[in-house]
Amino acid sequence: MNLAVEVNNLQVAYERNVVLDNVSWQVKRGTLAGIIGPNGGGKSTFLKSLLGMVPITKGTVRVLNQSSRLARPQVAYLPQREEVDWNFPITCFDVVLQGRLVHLKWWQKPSTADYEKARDSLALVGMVDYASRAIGALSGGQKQRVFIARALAQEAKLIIMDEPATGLDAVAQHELLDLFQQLKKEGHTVIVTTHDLNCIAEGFDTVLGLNRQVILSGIPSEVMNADILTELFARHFPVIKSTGEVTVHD
Amino acid sequence: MISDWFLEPLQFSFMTRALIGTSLIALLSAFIGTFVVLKGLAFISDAIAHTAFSGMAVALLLGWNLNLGALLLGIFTAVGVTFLNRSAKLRNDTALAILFTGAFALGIILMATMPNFAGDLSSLLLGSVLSIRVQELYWIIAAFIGVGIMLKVTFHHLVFVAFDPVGAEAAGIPVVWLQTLLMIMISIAVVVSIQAVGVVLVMALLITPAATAALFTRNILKMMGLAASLGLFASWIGMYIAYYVAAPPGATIVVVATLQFALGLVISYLRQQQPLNTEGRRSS
Repeated sequence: MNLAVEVNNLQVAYERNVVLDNVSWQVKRGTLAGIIGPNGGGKSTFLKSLLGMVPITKGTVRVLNQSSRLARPQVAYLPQREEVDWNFPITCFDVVLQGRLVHLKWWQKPSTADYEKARDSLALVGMVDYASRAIGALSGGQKQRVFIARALAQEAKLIIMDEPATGLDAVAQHELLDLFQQLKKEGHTVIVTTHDLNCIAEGFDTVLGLNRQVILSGIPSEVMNADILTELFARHFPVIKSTGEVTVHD
Repeated sequence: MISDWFLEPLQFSFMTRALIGTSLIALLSAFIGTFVVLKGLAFISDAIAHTAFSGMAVALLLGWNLNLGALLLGIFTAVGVTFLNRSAKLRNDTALAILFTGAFALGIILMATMPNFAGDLSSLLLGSVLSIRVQELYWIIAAFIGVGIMLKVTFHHLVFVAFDPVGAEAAGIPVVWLQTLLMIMISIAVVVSIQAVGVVLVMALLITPAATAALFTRNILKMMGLAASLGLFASWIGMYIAYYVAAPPGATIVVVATLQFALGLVISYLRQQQPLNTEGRRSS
Protein backbone atom coordinates (compact mmCIF):
# COMPACT_ATOMS: atom_id res chain seq x y z
CA MET A 1 0.00 0.00 0.00
CA ASN A 2 1.13 3.54 -0.70
CA LEU A 3 1.80 4.89 2.77
CA ALA A 4 3.13 8.24 3.88
CA VAL A 5 3.95 6.94 7.33
CA GLU A 6 4.27 3.40 8.66
CA VAL A 7 5.21 2.97 12.30
CA ASN A 8 5.51 -0.46 13.91
CA ASN A 9 5.91 -1.17 17.64
CA LEU A 10 7.83 2.06 18.16
CA GLN A 11 9.52 2.63 21.50
CA VAL A 12 11.37 5.86 22.35
CA ALA A 13 13.19 6.48 25.64
CA TYR A 14 14.90 9.57 27.05
CA GLU A 15 17.54 8.82 29.67
CA ARG A 16 16.08 5.38 30.44
CA ASN A 17 12.51 6.76 30.69
CA VAL A 18 10.16 5.31 28.11
CA VAL A 19 8.13 8.19 26.62
CA LEU A 20 6.54 6.22 23.77
CA ASP A 21 5.83 2.51 23.85
CA ASN A 22 4.44 0.00 21.40
CA VAL A 23 3.14 2.66 19.00
CA SER A 24 1.94 1.43 15.61
CA TRP A 25 0.28 3.72 13.10
CA GLN A 26 -0.25 4.02 9.38
CA VAL A 27 -1.12 7.11 7.37
CA LYS A 28 -2.08 6.85 3.71
CA ARG A 29 -0.66 9.35 1.28
CA GLY A 30 -2.86 12.38 0.55
CA THR A 31 -4.65 12.35 3.89
CA LEU A 32 -5.05 14.77 6.74
CA ALA A 33 -3.98 13.16 10.02
CA GLY A 34 -4.28 14.58 13.52
CA ILE A 35 -2.48 13.60 16.71
CA ILE A 36 -4.11 14.37 20.05
CA GLY A 37 -3.29 13.65 23.65
CA PRO A 38 -2.42 15.27 26.96
CA ASN A 39 0.65 17.44 27.43
CA GLY A 40 3.66 15.24 28.06
CA GLY A 41 1.91 12.34 26.32
CA GLY A 42 4.64 12.09 23.68
CA LYS A 43 3.07 13.94 20.70
CA SER A 44 6.11 16.07 19.88
CA THR A 45 8.48 13.16 20.49
CA PHE A 46 6.42 11.07 18.09
CA LEU A 47 6.75 13.76 15.40
CA LYS A 48 10.50 13.94 15.99
CA SER A 49 10.71 10.17 15.60
CA LEU A 50 9.00 10.47 12.21
CA LEU A 51 11.73 12.96 11.29
CA GLY A 52 14.49 10.67 12.51
CA MET A 53 15.52 13.20 15.12
CA VAL A 54 15.21 11.06 18.25
CA PRO A 55 16.89 7.71 18.88
CA ILE A 56 14.51 4.78 18.62
CA THR A 57 14.96 1.97 21.15
CA LYS A 58 12.58 -0.50 19.49
CA GLY A 59 10.41 -0.85 16.41
CA THR A 60 10.55 0.70 12.94
CA VAL A 61 9.58 3.97 11.29
CA ARG A 62 9.14 4.21 7.52
CA VAL A 63 8.36 7.54 5.88
CA LEU A 64 7.30 7.69 2.23
CA ASN A 65 8.41 4.04 1.89
CA GLN A 66 11.98 4.71 3.04
CA SER A 67 13.90 5.39 6.21
CA SER A 68 13.03 8.71 7.84
CA ARG A 69 16.54 10.04 7.21
CA LEU A 70 16.43 9.34 3.50
CA ALA A 71 12.94 10.81 3.27
CA ARG A 72 14.00 14.14 4.81
CA PRO A 73 14.19 16.25 1.62
CA GLN A 74 10.55 15.32 0.91
CA VAL A 75 9.39 16.09 4.44
CA ALA A 76 8.77 19.57 5.81
CA TYR A 77 8.57 20.19 9.53
CA LEU A 78 6.97 23.31 10.96
CA PRO A 79 8.36 23.71 14.48
CA GLN A 80 6.40 24.84 17.51
CA ARG A 81 6.35 28.60 17.84
CA GLU A 82 8.88 28.72 20.65
CA GLU A 83 11.42 26.74 18.63
CA VAL A 84 11.90 29.62 16.18
CA ASP A 85 13.68 32.92 16.86
CA TRP A 86 11.05 35.43 15.69
CA ASN A 87 13.40 38.38 16.16
CA PHE A 88 15.72 37.01 13.51
CA PRO A 89 16.08 39.65 10.78
CA ILE A 90 14.65 37.74 7.83
CA THR A 91 11.87 38.53 5.35
CA CYS A 92 8.95 36.23 4.56
CA PHE A 93 10.30 35.72 1.06
CA ASP A 94 13.69 34.58 2.35
CA VAL A 95 12.00 32.12 4.72
CA VAL A 96 10.09 30.61 1.79
CA LEU A 97 13.25 30.50 -0.33
CA GLN A 98 14.80 28.29 2.37
CA GLY A 99 12.49 25.54 1.11
CA ARG A 100 14.51 25.47 -2.12
CA LEU A 101 17.83 25.10 -0.28
CA VAL A 102 16.83 21.56 0.64
CA HIS A 103 17.44 20.52 -2.97
CA LEU A 104 20.76 22.37 -3.24
CA LYS A 105 24.17 21.45 -1.87
CA TRP A 106 25.45 23.73 0.87
CA TRP A 107 27.73 25.55 -1.57
CA GLN A 108 25.04 26.09 -4.22
CA LYS A 109 23.02 29.28 -4.54
CA PRO A 110 19.30 29.46 -5.40
CA SER A 111 18.68 29.98 -9.14
CA THR A 112 16.11 32.21 -10.86
CA ALA A 113 13.79 29.19 -11.04
CA ASP A 114 14.14 28.75 -7.26
CA TYR A 115 13.18 32.38 -6.70
CA GLU A 116 10.13 31.94 -8.96
CA LYS A 117 9.08 28.79 -7.13
CA ALA A 118 9.35 30.63 -3.80
CA ARG A 119 7.20 33.49 -5.11
CA ASP A 120 4.59 31.07 -6.50
CA SER A 121 4.47 29.23 -3.16
CA LEU A 122 3.94 32.48 -1.28
CA ALA A 123 1.10 33.31 -3.70
CA LEU A 124 -0.53 29.90 -3.10
CA VAL A 125 -0.98 30.67 0.60
CA GLY A 126 -2.14 34.22 -0.14
CA MET A 127 0.90 35.93 1.38
CA VAL A 128 2.61 37.43 -1.66
CA ASP A 129 1.89 40.98 -0.50
CA TYR A 130 3.93 40.28 2.61
CA ALA A 131 7.04 39.03 0.78
CA SER A 132 9.35 41.80 1.97
CA ARG A 133 7.98 42.01 5.52
CA ALA A 134 10.05 40.79 8.44
CA ILE A 135 8.72 37.39 9.64
CA GLY A 136 8.54 38.63 13.22
CA ALA A 137 6.14 41.44 12.27
CA LEU A 138 3.38 39.02 11.18
CA SER A 139 0.46 37.60 13.14
CA GLY A 140 0.53 33.96 14.28
CA GLY A 141 -1.70 32.79 11.43
CA GLN A 142 0.36 34.64 8.84
CA LYS A 143 3.58 33.11 10.18
CA GLN A 144 2.05 29.64 9.79
CA ARG A 145 1.11 30.45 6.19
CA VAL A 146 4.66 31.54 5.40
CA PHE A 147 6.03 28.30 6.85
CA ILE A 148 3.51 26.30 4.84
CA ALA A 149 4.66 28.23 1.76
CA ARG A 150 8.22 27.14 2.63
CA ALA A 151 7.01 23.52 2.69
CA LEU A 152 5.38 24.05 -0.73
CA ALA A 153 8.56 25.60 -2.12
CA GLN A 154 10.39 22.53 -0.84
CA GLU A 155 7.85 20.40 -2.78
CA ALA A 156 7.44 18.36 0.38
CA LYS A 157 5.15 15.36 0.01
CA LEU A 158 4.67 15.11 3.77
CA ILE A 159 4.10 18.20 5.92
CA ILE A 160 4.43 17.76 9.68
CA MET A 161 3.28 20.51 12.05
CA ASP A 162 3.60 20.69 15.82
CA GLU A 163 0.58 22.50 17.28
CA PRO A 164 0.11 24.95 14.42
CA ALA A 165 -3.24 26.16 15.74
CA THR A 166 -2.00 27.05 19.23
CA GLY A 167 -2.28 30.77 19.89
CA LEU A 168 -4.38 31.49 16.79
CA ASP A 169 -7.78 33.18 17.03
CA ALA A 170 -10.90 31.36 15.78
CA VAL A 171 -10.82 32.95 12.31
CA ALA A 172 -7.15 32.14 11.79
CA GLN A 173 -7.75 28.56 12.96
CA HIS A 174 -10.51 28.08 10.38
CA GLU A 175 -8.38 29.59 7.66
CA LEU A 176 -5.60 27.19 8.61
CA LEU A 177 -7.99 24.26 8.41
CA ASP A 178 -9.08 25.41 4.94
CA LEU A 179 -5.44 25.56 3.94
CA PHE A 180 -4.94 21.97 5.18
CA GLN A 181 -7.84 20.88 2.96
CA GLN A 182 -6.26 22.69 0.02
CA LEU A 183 -2.92 20.95 0.68
CA LYS A 184 -4.69 17.60 0.84
CA LYS A 185 -6.44 18.25 -2.49
CA GLU A 186 -3.05 18.93 -4.05
CA GLY A 187 -1.86 15.52 -2.91
CA HIS A 188 0.14 16.44 0.19
CA THR A 189 -0.05 14.38 3.34
CA VAL A 190 -0.47 16.57 6.40
CA ILE A 191 0.18 15.44 9.99
CA VAL A 192 -0.51 17.86 12.84
CA THR A 193 -0.64 17.69 16.60
CA THR A 194 -3.40 19.75 18.14
CA HIS A 195 -5.48 20.37 21.23
CA ASP A 196 -8.53 21.29 19.15
CA LEU A 197 -10.62 18.13 19.13
CA ASN A 198 -13.47 19.71 17.12
CA CYS A 199 -11.12 20.61 14.35
CA ILE A 200 -10.01 16.96 14.19
CA ALA A 201 -13.59 15.68 14.29
CA GLU A 202 -14.68 18.02 11.50
CA GLY A 203 -11.92 18.00 8.97
CA PHE A 204 -9.45 15.18 9.49
CA ASP A 205 -9.33 11.76 7.84
CA THR A 206 -7.60 9.96 10.64
CA VAL A 207 -6.69 10.54 14.26
CA LEU A 208 -4.14 9.14 16.67
CA GLY A 209 -4.60 9.57 20.43
CA LEU A 210 -1.28 9.26 22.26
CA ASN A 211 -0.54 9.05 25.93
CA ARG A 212 2.75 7.19 26.00
CA GLN A 213 0.99 4.51 23.98
CA VAL A 214 -1.80 4.45 21.44
CA ILE A 215 -5.13 5.10 23.18
CA LEU A 216 -7.20 5.58 20.05
CA SER A 217 -6.58 5.34 16.33
CA GLY A 218 -8.84 5.48 13.29
CA ILE A 219 -11.49 7.65 11.62
CA PRO A 220 -12.36 10.50 14.02
CA SER A 221 -16.15 10.08 13.87
CA GLU A 222 -15.79 6.40 14.70
CA VAL A 223 -13.16 6.41 17.43
CA MET A 224 -13.65 9.70 19.29
CA ASN A 225 -16.23 9.13 22.01
CA ALA A 226 -16.56 10.39 25.56
CA ASP A 227 -15.21 7.25 27.26
CA ILE A 228 -12.09 6.94 25.21
CA LEU A 229 -11.36 10.68 25.31
CA THR A 230 -11.62 10.57 29.09
CA GLU A 231 -9.17 7.68 29.12
CA LEU A 232 -6.83 9.52 26.75
CA PHE A 233 -6.76 12.73 28.70
CA ALA A 234 -6.71 10.96 32.07
CA ARG A 235 -6.59 13.77 34.61
CA HIS A 236 -7.87 16.32 32.10
CA PHE A 237 -11.61 16.57 31.50
CA PRO A 238 -13.12 16.39 28.06
CA VAL A 239 -16.62 17.87 28.02
CA ILE A 240 -19.01 16.94 25.26
CA LYS A 241 -21.85 19.39 24.70
CA SER A 242 -25.30 18.47 23.40
CA THR A 243 -24.31 19.99 20.05
CA GLY A 244 -21.54 17.44 19.81
CA GLU A 245 -18.74 19.94 20.47
CA VAL A 246 -15.86 18.78 22.60
CA THR A 247 -13.61 20.85 24.83
CA VAL A 248 -10.78 19.72 27.07
CA HIS A 249 -10.12 21.40 30.39
CA ASP A 250 -6.72 21.10 32.05
CA MET B 1 43.88 71.99 7.63
CA ILE B 2 41.73 68.92 7.87
CA SER B 3 43.61 67.17 5.04
CA ASP B 4 46.91 67.64 6.89
CA TRP B 5 45.26 66.20 9.99
CA PHE B 6 44.14 63.22 7.91
CA LEU B 7 47.37 62.71 5.93
CA GLU B 8 49.96 63.21 8.64
CA PRO B 9 49.70 59.76 10.27
CA LEU B 10 49.76 58.07 6.86
CA GLN B 11 53.38 59.07 6.24
CA PHE B 12 54.40 56.45 8.81
CA SER B 13 54.41 52.96 7.39
CA PHE B 14 53.45 51.45 10.77
CA MET B 15 50.28 53.60 10.74
CA THR B 16 49.43 52.55 7.19
CA ARG B 17 49.89 48.88 8.08
CA ALA B 18 47.83 49.34 11.25
CA LEU B 19 45.02 51.05 9.34
CA ILE B 20 44.92 48.37 6.63
CA GLY B 21 45.03 45.65 9.31
CA THR B 22 42.31 47.10 11.52
CA SER B 23 40.09 47.87 8.52
CA LEU B 24 40.17 44.26 7.33
CA ILE B 25 39.72 42.99 10.89
CA ALA B 26 36.78 45.37 11.42
CA LEU B 27 35.08 44.16 8.23
CA LEU B 28 35.68 40.48 9.04
CA SER B 29 34.48 40.92 12.62
CA ALA B 30 31.35 42.74 11.48
CA PHE B 31 30.33 40.01 9.02
CA ILE B 32 30.94 37.17 11.47
CA GLY B 33 29.79 39.26 14.45
CA THR B 34 26.34 39.55 12.85
CA PHE B 35 25.88 35.79 13.29
CA VAL B 36 27.43 35.92 16.78
CA VAL B 37 24.92 38.57 17.87
CA LEU B 38 21.92 36.91 16.22
CA LYS B 39 22.70 33.48 17.66
CA GLY B 40 23.81 34.69 21.10
CA LEU B 41 27.30 33.21 20.69
CA ALA B 42 29.12 36.00 22.54
CA PHE B 43 30.11 33.83 25.47
CA ILE B 44 31.45 31.06 23.24
CA SER B 45 33.41 33.62 21.20
CA ASP B 46 34.94 34.93 24.40
CA ALA B 47 35.94 31.39 25.33
CA ILE B 48 37.55 30.97 21.91
CA ALA B 49 39.56 34.17 22.45
CA HIS B 50 40.82 32.98 25.81
CA THR B 51 41.79 29.47 24.68
CA ALA B 52 43.38 30.99 21.55
CA PHE B 53 45.65 32.87 23.96
CA SER B 54 46.72 29.58 25.51
CA GLY B 55 47.31 28.32 21.97
CA MET B 56 49.73 31.20 21.47
CA ALA B 57 51.57 30.26 24.65
CA VAL B 58 51.89 26.67 23.50
CA ALA B 59 53.02 27.83 20.05
CA LEU B 60 55.71 29.98 21.67
CA LEU B 61 56.90 27.06 23.73
CA LEU B 62 57.14 24.83 20.68
CA GLY B 63 58.54 27.53 18.43
CA TRP B 64 55.52 27.55 16.13
CA ASN B 65 53.81 30.49 14.50
CA LEU B 66 51.65 32.26 17.11
CA ASN B 67 48.60 32.57 14.86
CA LEU B 68 48.71 28.88 14.01
CA GLY B 69 48.76 27.88 17.69
CA ALA B 70 45.93 30.28 18.48
CA LEU B 71 43.87 29.09 15.54
CA LEU B 72 44.28 25.41 16.36
CA LEU B 73 43.24 25.76 19.99
CA GLY B 74 40.47 28.26 19.09
CA ILE B 75 38.98 25.87 16.53
CA PHE B 76 39.36 22.96 18.95
CA THR B 77 37.32 24.90 21.53
CA ALA B 78 34.74 25.97 18.94
CA VAL B 79 34.16 22.51 17.55
CA GLY B 80 34.21 20.96 21.02
CA VAL B 81 31.51 23.36 22.18
CA THR B 82 29.34 22.61 19.14
CA PHE B 83 29.36 18.90 19.93
CA LEU B 84 28.96 19.53 23.66
CA ASN B 85 25.90 21.61 22.81
CA ARG B 86 24.27 18.80 20.86
CA SER B 87 24.71 16.21 23.56
CA ALA B 88 24.00 18.80 26.24
CA LYS B 89 23.23 17.16 29.50
CA LEU B 90 24.94 19.82 31.57
CA ARG B 91 24.53 23.59 31.53
CA ASN B 92 27.49 24.10 29.31
CA ASP B 93 28.14 27.79 30.05
CA THR B 94 29.39 26.66 33.45
CA ALA B 95 31.55 23.88 32.03
CA LEU B 96 32.85 26.22 29.35
CA ALA B 97 33.69 28.99 31.81
CA ILE B 98 35.69 26.59 33.98
CA LEU B 99 37.49 25.17 30.97
CA PHE B 100 38.42 28.42 29.26
CA THR B 101 39.47 30.38 32.34
CA GLY B 102 41.57 27.38 33.40
CA ALA B 103 43.21 27.20 29.97
CA PHE B 104 43.73 30.97 29.99
CA ALA B 105 45.41 30.90 33.41
CA LEU B 106 47.66 28.09 32.23
CA GLY B 107 48.55 30.18 29.18
CA ILE B 108 49.53 33.14 31.37
CA ILE B 109 51.78 30.95 33.52
CA LEU B 110 53.41 29.41 30.44
CA MET B 111 54.08 32.83 28.98
CA ALA B 112 55.39 34.27 32.23
CA THR B 113 57.87 31.42 32.64
CA MET B 114 59.32 32.02 29.20
CA PRO B 115 62.41 34.23 29.21
CA ASN B 116 62.11 37.61 27.49
CA PHE B 117 58.38 37.37 27.02
CA ALA B 118 56.88 39.26 29.93
CA GLY B 119 56.77 42.46 27.89
CA ASP B 120 54.74 40.90 25.08
CA LEU B 121 52.14 39.50 27.44
CA SER B 122 50.37 42.83 27.70
CA SER B 123 50.46 43.31 23.94
CA LEU B 124 48.62 40.00 23.50
CA LEU B 125 46.13 40.85 26.21
CA LEU B 126 45.49 44.40 25.05
CA GLY B 127 46.51 44.32 21.39
CA SER B 128 49.45 45.81 19.57
CA VAL B 129 48.11 47.06 16.29
CA LEU B 130 50.91 49.58 15.78
CA SER B 131 53.46 46.81 15.69
CA ILE B 132 51.72 44.78 12.97
CA ARG B 133 54.37 43.53 10.56
CA VAL B 134 53.91 42.82 6.88
CA GLN B 135 53.89 39.09 7.54
CA GLU B 136 51.02 39.50 10.03
CA LEU B 137 49.18 41.58 7.49
CA TYR B 138 49.36 38.60 5.12
CA TRP B 139 47.68 36.45 7.80
CA ILE B 140 44.92 39.00 8.14
CA ILE B 141 44.43 39.26 4.37
CA ALA B 142 44.35 35.45 4.05
CA ALA B 143 41.80 35.21 6.88
CA PHE B 144 39.69 37.94 5.30
CA ILE B 145 39.64 36.27 1.88
CA GLY B 146 39.17 32.76 3.28
CA VAL B 147 36.29 33.63 5.60
CA GLY B 148 34.79 35.94 2.95
CA ILE B 149 34.61 33.10 0.43
CA MET B 150 33.27 30.60 2.99
CA LEU B 151 30.62 33.06 4.10
CA LYS B 152 29.53 34.00 0.60
CA VAL B 153 29.30 30.39 -0.52
CA THR B 154 27.33 29.11 2.48
CA PHE B 155 25.38 32.26 3.31
CA HIS B 156 21.84 31.07 2.50
CA HIS B 157 22.31 27.73 4.25
CA LEU B 158 23.92 29.38 7.28
CA VAL B 159 20.97 31.75 7.61
CA PHE B 160 18.51 28.83 7.39
CA VAL B 161 20.37 26.96 10.14
CA ALA B 162 20.68 30.08 12.30
CA PHE B 163 16.99 30.97 11.94
CA ASP B 164 15.35 27.55 12.24
CA PRO B 165 17.84 24.78 13.12
CA VAL B 166 15.14 22.18 13.81
CA GLY B 167 13.29 22.83 10.54
CA ALA B 168 16.58 22.79 8.65
CA GLU B 169 17.67 19.48 10.18
CA ALA B 170 14.26 17.94 9.56
CA ALA B 171 14.58 18.85 5.88
CA GLY B 172 18.00 17.20 5.60
CA ILE B 173 20.24 20.31 5.64
CA PRO B 174 23.66 19.35 7.11
CA VAL B 175 23.10 21.38 10.27
CA VAL B 176 26.03 20.05 12.32
CA TRP B 177 28.50 20.66 9.53
CA LEU B 178 27.26 24.22 8.94
CA GLN B 179 27.27 25.03 12.67
CA THR B 180 30.83 23.71 12.88
CA LEU B 181 31.84 25.81 9.88
CA LEU B 182 30.37 28.92 11.52
CA MET B 183 32.35 28.18 14.68
CA ILE B 184 35.54 27.80 12.63
CA MET B 185 34.87 31.16 10.96
CA ILE B 186 34.30 32.75 14.37
CA SER B 187 37.62 31.26 15.55
CA ILE B 188 39.48 32.72 12.57
CA ALA B 189 37.90 36.16 13.09
CA VAL B 190 38.75 36.07 16.80
CA VAL B 191 42.36 34.98 16.28
CA VAL B 192 43.18 37.71 13.76
CA SER B 193 41.32 40.32 15.84
CA ILE B 194 43.56 39.56 18.83
CA GLN B 195 46.29 41.28 16.77
CA ALA B 196 44.44 44.55 16.86
CA VAL B 197 42.68 44.75 20.19
CA GLY B 198 44.01 41.84 22.22
CA VAL B 199 42.27 38.98 24.01
CA VAL B 200 40.43 41.16 26.50
CA LEU B 201 38.80 43.48 23.98
CA VAL B 202 38.33 41.14 21.03
CA MET B 203 34.66 40.65 21.86
CA ALA B 204 33.99 44.34 21.35
CA LEU B 205 35.02 44.31 17.68
CA LEU B 206 32.99 41.17 17.07
CA ILE B 207 29.85 42.23 18.84
CA THR B 208 29.46 45.97 19.32
CA PRO B 209 29.16 47.08 15.64
CA ALA B 210 26.77 44.19 14.85
CA ALA B 211 24.68 44.92 17.95
CA THR B 212 24.49 48.61 16.99
CA ALA B 213 23.42 47.64 13.45
CA ALA B 214 20.73 45.32 14.86
CA LEU B 215 19.06 48.37 16.41
CA PHE B 216 18.32 49.79 12.97
CA THR B 217 17.46 47.01 10.55
CA ARG B 218 15.53 43.76 10.33
CA ASN B 219 17.36 42.55 7.24
CA ILE B 220 20.46 40.43 7.79
CA LEU B 221 22.35 41.70 4.73
CA LYS B 222 21.69 45.33 5.68
CA MET B 223 22.74 44.46 9.22
CA MET B 224 26.07 43.11 7.96
CA GLY B 225 26.62 46.15 5.75
CA LEU B 226 25.80 48.59 8.54
CA ALA B 227 27.95 46.67 11.05
CA ALA B 228 30.85 46.76 8.57
CA SER B 229 30.49 50.54 8.07
CA LEU B 230 30.28 51.14 11.83
CA GLY B 231 33.28 48.87 12.47
CA LEU B 232 35.36 50.62 9.81
CA PHE B 233 34.38 54.04 11.12
CA ALA B 234 35.22 53.10 14.72
CA SER B 235 38.59 51.67 13.63
CA TRP B 236 39.65 54.74 11.67
CA ILE B 237 38.40 57.29 14.19
CA GLY B 238 39.89 55.21 17.00
CA MET B 239 43.27 54.98 15.26
CA TYR B 240 43.40 58.74 14.56
CA ILE B 241 42.40 59.69 18.09
CA ALA B 242 44.98 57.24 19.43
CA TYR B 243 47.62 58.78 17.17
CA TYR B 244 46.91 62.38 18.17
CA VAL B 245 46.43 61.90 21.89
CA ALA B 246 48.88 58.99 22.23
CA ALA B 247 46.21 56.62 23.61
CA PRO B 248 46.33 52.82 23.26
CA PRO B 249 44.76 52.23 19.80
CA GLY B 250 42.92 48.97 20.55
CA ALA B 251 41.16 50.41 23.57
CA THR B 252 40.37 53.66 21.73
CA ILE B 253 38.72 51.75 18.87
CA VAL B 254 36.60 49.85 21.37
CA VAL B 255 35.59 53.06 23.17
CA VAL B 256 34.49 54.63 19.86
CA ALA B 257 32.49 51.51 18.98
CA THR B 258 30.85 51.57 22.41
CA LEU B 259 29.94 55.25 21.98
CA GLN B 260 28.40 54.36 18.60
CA PHE B 261 26.27 51.77 20.36
CA ALA B 262 25.20 54.23 23.06
CA LEU B 263 24.29 56.80 20.40
CA GLY B 264 22.45 54.08 18.47
CA LEU B 265 20.41 53.23 21.57
CA VAL B 266 19.43 56.88 22.03
CA ILE B 267 18.48 57.30 18.35
CA SER B 268 16.43 54.09 18.25
CA TYR B 269 14.69 55.14 21.48
CA LEU B 270 13.84 58.55 20.01
CA ARG B 271 12.54 56.91 16.82
CA GLN B 272 10.18 54.79 18.90
CA GLN B 273 8.82 57.94 20.53
CA GLN B 274 7.68 59.38 17.19
CA PRO B 275 3.91 59.52 16.56
CA LEU B 276 2.37 56.32 15.18
CA ASN B 277 2.06 55.98 11.44
CA THR B 278 -1.64 55.50 10.77
CA GLU B 279 -1.27 55.03 6.99
CA GLY B 280 -0.82 51.30 7.52
CA ARG B 281 2.63 51.04 5.92
CA ARG B 282 5.57 49.95 7.99
CA SER B 283 9.11 51.10 7.55
CA SER B 284 11.79 48.51 8.15
